[in-house]
Amino acid sequence: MKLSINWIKELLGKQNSISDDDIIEAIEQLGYEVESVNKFNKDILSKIKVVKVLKVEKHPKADKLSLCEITDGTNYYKVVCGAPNVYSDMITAYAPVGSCITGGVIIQEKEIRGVNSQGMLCSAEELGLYKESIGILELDNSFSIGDTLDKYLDDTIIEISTPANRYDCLGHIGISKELKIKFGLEVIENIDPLSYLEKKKLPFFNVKISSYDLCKRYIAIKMSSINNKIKLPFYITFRINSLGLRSINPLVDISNYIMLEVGHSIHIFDANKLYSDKIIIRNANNTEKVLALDGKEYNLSDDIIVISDEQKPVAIAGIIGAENSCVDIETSNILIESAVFNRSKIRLARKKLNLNTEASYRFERGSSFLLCEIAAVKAYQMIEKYCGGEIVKFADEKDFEYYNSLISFNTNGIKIDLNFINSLLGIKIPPQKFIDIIQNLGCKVKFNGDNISTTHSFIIVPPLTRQDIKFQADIAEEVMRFIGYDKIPETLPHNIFEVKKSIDNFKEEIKKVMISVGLNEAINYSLCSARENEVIFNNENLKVKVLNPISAEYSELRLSLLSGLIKNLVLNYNNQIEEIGLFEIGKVFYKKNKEIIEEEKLGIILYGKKDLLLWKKISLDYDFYYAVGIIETLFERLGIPYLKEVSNIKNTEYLLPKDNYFNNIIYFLDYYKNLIGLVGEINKDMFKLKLPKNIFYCEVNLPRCRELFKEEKIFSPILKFPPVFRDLCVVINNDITYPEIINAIYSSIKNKNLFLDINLIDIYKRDGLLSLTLSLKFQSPTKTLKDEEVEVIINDILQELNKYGIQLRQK
Amino acid sequence: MSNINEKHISELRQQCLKEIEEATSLAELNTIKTKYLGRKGLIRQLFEELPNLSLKERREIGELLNRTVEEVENKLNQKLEEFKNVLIHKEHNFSKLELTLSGNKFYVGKIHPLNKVYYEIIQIFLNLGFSIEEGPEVEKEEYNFTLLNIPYDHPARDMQDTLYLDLKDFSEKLLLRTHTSPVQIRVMLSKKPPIKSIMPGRVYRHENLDPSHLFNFHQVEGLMVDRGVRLSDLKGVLTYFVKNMFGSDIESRFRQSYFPFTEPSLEMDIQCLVCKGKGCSVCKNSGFVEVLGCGMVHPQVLENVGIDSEAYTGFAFGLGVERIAMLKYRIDDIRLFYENDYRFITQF
Repeated sequence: MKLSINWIKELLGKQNSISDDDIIEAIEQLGYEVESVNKFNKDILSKIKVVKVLKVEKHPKADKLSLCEITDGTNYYKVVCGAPNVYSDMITAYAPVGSCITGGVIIQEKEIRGVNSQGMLCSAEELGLYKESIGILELDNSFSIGDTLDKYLDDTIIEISTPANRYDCLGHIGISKELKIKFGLEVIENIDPLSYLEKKKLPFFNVKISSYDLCKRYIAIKMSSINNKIKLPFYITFRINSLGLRSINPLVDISNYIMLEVGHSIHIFDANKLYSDKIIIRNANNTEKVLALDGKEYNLSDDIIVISDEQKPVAIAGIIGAENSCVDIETSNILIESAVFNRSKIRLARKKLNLNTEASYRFERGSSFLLCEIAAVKAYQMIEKYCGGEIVKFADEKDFEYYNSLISFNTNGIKIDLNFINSLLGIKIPPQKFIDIIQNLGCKVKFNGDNISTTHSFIIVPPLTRQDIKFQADIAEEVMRFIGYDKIPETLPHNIFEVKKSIDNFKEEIKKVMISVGLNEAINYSLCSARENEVIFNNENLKVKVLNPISAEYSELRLSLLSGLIKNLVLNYNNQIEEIGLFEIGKVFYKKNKEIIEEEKLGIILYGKKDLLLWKKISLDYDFYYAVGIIETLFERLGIPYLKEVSNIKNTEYLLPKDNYFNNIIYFLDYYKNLIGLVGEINKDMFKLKLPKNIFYCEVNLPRCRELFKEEKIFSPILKFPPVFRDLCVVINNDITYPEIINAIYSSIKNKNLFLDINLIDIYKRDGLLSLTLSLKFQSPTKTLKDEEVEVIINDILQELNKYGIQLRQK
Repeated sequence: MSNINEKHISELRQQCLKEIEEATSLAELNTIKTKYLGRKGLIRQLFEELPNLSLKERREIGELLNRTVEEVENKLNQKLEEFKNVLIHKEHNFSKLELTLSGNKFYVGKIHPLNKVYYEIIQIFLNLGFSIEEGPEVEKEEYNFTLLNIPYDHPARDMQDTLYLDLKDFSEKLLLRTHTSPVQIRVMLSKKPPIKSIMPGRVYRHENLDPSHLFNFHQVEGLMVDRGVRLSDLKGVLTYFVKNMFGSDIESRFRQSYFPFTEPSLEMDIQCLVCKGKGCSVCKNSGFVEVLGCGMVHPQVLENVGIDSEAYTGFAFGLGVERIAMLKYRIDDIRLFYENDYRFITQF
């Protein structure tokens, strides 16, 4: 919303002479964000003269140019002018030779198509005042010929954003009232503005509100014998133009001027274009269309409010008028509308039609009964003053029940304990200062006792325009706006350093492992497409869909971290990154027994060549065992023992990928046979990927691992006696997993105090049989092991392995 | 005339030691050794003349000769060691170039910049004694809006602003939470004051992706409810936060704002990090940029969760993690956080 600082000063009372900077700072402190500040350029305007055009002739060689004779009262000049709106007797702005206009252009005496031009007649845009000027700037009799323009046009235009709940501050009057309180100036409330019209006992204009849910109040004033061909005073059109609107004709300009001043938007219809003297406020039909004042046609629907005559919609309520009922310069009979519409319906319509107007900006923030009246009264007064005419019909339809509830709410008032407010804010407000601010806001204050300075309990009745003030906290906020938040000290709460639960160690530990094996962390959106969720087995029953998605690409909550990581992989591969190792810790979402489960997972994607030392030519491709190794490293670091399972387990408690999305897949189980993770080589065809190397995906079930995570470590004595090493080369001719072999070895050890460490150091395949060479490290906590003792242990191991059909390899 | 006298020996000794001292190579040292101590060496051959001397002289000169030989040998050995050391050094050491080749670098992965900032924020509040509370991202309308005093006609509830879930067989209307404030409601419903917690988490809005908007982003909200919690405490805690986050010399200010769930409601600005408050395009020439919204918990919200709003007061604040990260790292496109482009994530 744009504001003219000059206009505000005028409303504050010019005699108060408050500086522009003070006003802008105060506006900011009061809770309005100042988005831009534009001051008219005094350097330009102080060189521009007010002149009168004496004579206008056509340029002999150019149809669109005119030759003008002008005077500044003492001298006469001849200038060539290209503006269509120049006419003789016009008072306008003249840039003499040597002066400067916007953009740094210096005016010189020059020939234009063979005719000499001594300077230039200027448009508002050329003077840096406002854009969209239709020709040269037209001034009026309030300007003395020969004066420089800076004496008249010295203003600063600011743009502010208003809080969503302050519908009383959408115009110059509202903001000025706030400033008056801030600066301690007297505030005069306009009470009962409509009484004059009500007393006149005018004939009734027929207004039908189909439901008060659409419109709480509709004031209609019909006027006849209007003259819309007059010229409004310069300052009115100038303010409209410089605040970002466009001057159109006197009636439209008056309605815009009132909106800018009061902050309540009104509409004026050409009464002759209405079917009859009846207005209906109703929902639109789904088939209705409106050609609006912006020249565009809008398709309406039944959630949009329209103003209609007995035949057709004549306006989209609170947003824009229709072409079919608009005022033009021939208009003589009018209907003034000032109404209170349902703000959420206006907002929905505005969004649906994608039609932002000054009116919708205001109506969707709400509107007050009082400002609705003030705007109506100002409208007919201004029209009477400038366009003549008289009021012939009048109506004020309103929801009385609602109106009475407003009034009765306010009479009850709010109980205030100033001590409570002081302790809420952490500041001491003197009672007198408190009362001054509250009274200036238009609140009525009642208190007990005679001495104000010692009283702390009050009853406060807020004004009709401030329905938002309901609680002590609201009063606290109002008072602080005027005192300023910088006056509140900075303190720390009394129990501030009491230490509570710290950061999530489980996740921290995982992240440490991930980054130390060289993986980068990824964060993906939690919404994905239906196709991306296809990767999960039985997905239709699990999927959680968004009712109103932004697009099909993000229409479901993700069932897996895989799709996001694949996207990241492709992006980086296309950027010529040769090694990609990413991990993500994130939630997946699924339905189970009419509940939505949010489950945290760790996902890892690996692709390409990992360089260990480039110039020594040491590198390796990420492969299946690299991926498996990462997960094993993680589980060991977290202290979680695991088993491996190759068969495809259909565990309903876990979101499993479909078989055909992976070539090789291994599942990790805890000792209770719960699935805790998986590693697989991705079937690139299923993802339509054209990458040359293999892609590996790992996934870990974090909720289960969190339960198994051993955070606390207990010291075990350092082994003092030397270890003994033995290599064991065995042939496996059985269907068995590696962890099963390892577990068999451990279970064969009879002395439970013996320490054993097993490493796979070689594998060898012959005649379809796999041989493994295992390096075993034995260590006793109590003595140095003798060879004979080790032999016994080895024998025990071989006996146990024999049960699984595993034998020593024959040399 | 016999050459064997003390003076001659002393001369030979000095000459030999000098030659050893001046020797520059191992070969030279060997030559010197042969010259003096070889079988026909200048010192060695003197021993052959000893029998020609008187017994007394023989003993004295003999001792002198022995001492001289020992001394020369020691000197020779010492010099020999020196040369050897130099040689070994020369054979085993790298050239200047070899010494300066790049080493075996280890690639240590990187934590995502967003999470770095996220943890930094959380850690500051943990230091102030706030606990961490988390809640579901799929949330009830009641917790996300109603109990937070967000009226039924508030724009936030529109389908155009909030992502609702399509769950035909569910009895309750569920949505993707638009802020982490429902966690505040959950905490207040389940615990009695004093409450002092932060609520970090992912939140959702119905927004199309563009350089400054995302449909999901991260928030850290804070809540403190107790007897006698003041607005000045809120100012103190948040000033402590921004000074720890952005530097102790950062200036900040509070502005009036409006949120349905707090009263008074404020916004906090910090001095623009780009221009240091001088005014630039980032801060629209104001010298300040907005970092967070905050306020005193609305009495209606306290009443909604069964906390006596006359006995207890509280403050709440909420900040966008992406926004803080963008300010801190001067990132101009919010979508970069979710693309996981190596050219971006490996910078931090």
